[in-house]
Amino acid sequence: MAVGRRWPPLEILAMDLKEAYRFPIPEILAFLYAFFPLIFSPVAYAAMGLEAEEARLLIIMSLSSSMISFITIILILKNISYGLANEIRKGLVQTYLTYPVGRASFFLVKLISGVLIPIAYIVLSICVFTGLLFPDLALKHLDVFLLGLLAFVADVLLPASLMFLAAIAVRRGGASLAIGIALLFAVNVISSILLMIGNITGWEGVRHVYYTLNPLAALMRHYSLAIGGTPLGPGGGAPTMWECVAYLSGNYAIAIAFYVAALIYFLRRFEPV
Amino acid sequence: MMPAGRLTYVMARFGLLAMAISLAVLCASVIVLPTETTHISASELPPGEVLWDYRCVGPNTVLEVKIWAGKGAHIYVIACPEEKLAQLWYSELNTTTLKAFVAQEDVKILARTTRRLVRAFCFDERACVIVAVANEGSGFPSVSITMTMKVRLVPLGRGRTFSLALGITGTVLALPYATMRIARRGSR
Repeated sequence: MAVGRRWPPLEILAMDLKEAYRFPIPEILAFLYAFFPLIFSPVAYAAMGLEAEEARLLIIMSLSSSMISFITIILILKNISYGLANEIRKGLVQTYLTYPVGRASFFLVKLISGVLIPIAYIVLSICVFTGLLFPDLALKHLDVFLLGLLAFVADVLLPASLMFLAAIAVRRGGASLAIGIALLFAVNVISSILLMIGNITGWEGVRHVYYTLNPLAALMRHYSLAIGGTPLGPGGGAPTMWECVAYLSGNYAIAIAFYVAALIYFLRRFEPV
Repeated sequence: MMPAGRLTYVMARFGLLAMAISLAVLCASVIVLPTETTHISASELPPGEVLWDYRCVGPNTVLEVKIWAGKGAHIYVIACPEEKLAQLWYSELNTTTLKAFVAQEDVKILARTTRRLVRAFCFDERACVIVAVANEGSGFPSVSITMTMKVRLVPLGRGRTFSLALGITGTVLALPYATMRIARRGSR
């Protein structure tokens, strides 16, 4: 029996991957994602002078992922904001939905190919960089490494959820791309405004919202890492480890809520053009 | 495509990904960037005296040493733990104290020669490298020491092992699909 008949979603995933990740695109991406952070390895070795080992580990991880996260966002913009919205516009989604496949499964396929695969590249990049240069440090503080990894992923997952929702709601490639970029800016602007307000007023509520939007900043602050060596933070003391975990969970909960909202819209209201 | 064919295709794609990462690590492991160069010299080194300099190195550093010394001078390149360095600061280094220092258990002589040394040293772990020229003769030789620190993007040993392991894994994963393709082409 052919696989396609048994697992139609898998068939659609295969088609989707063949389209978006045609040979040798994933291979070139893997090469670049593994190679690019290694350029910063001399800087990473310079960070070995820091006192706390956990702080060292987070700095090393952030060195490997800062530019990579930005590139991944562009990849997601191309896949979701432009790709998915264009597929809806051109009626390709309607064709896909003629397969014996549920809308939820189709949604999941798009989530995997459009968001989760680019995120897997970030994870790959951080793991190769840290594992290759500082394996002993990563193994010694595995909990910090995993929390840091989740925080880096959260940095991309939340904006991606907004882009996903926008692409399904707007249904036009160009407009969706513009809205996606605007949303990305909006998230960063809100974050910066919260940082400034928190820094000036020291309001606790603002601090909580800021750290929920930026769980990585909370984690870095916990290990007394100030951004750029200056005490620029949203006010208040350093968050405890449990607070960091709560901020991270909150961030994931918000991202998941946006994905669920997109799914509900896709299941109930969405009508392919 | 039948399930077996699809499985070998997926395996081959993962294999190619592994090979791409392996290639990236291999490329990074051959890139060496120069960071700093230091030079010290003496036109006349009195008998019994030592001209020395040191650098702390790690698994990713390459230390290039160029030394020229006149007659009667002995060249030493020594590796020791960082804590040992304090001993040299607190005692004035001369040929006697240098020999006593070298005789210690955790001090390793990387090179020992006379007149001229041009060599690059790679390291597996963090250490301090001391380059010393000791005048063990009775003349006044001139001495010149140049040290260039270079940073390798990936520690050589670890990078090559990782790259090799991943390359082999990638080849093994890609092999069934490649064999299938070749056999299919042959049967046509």
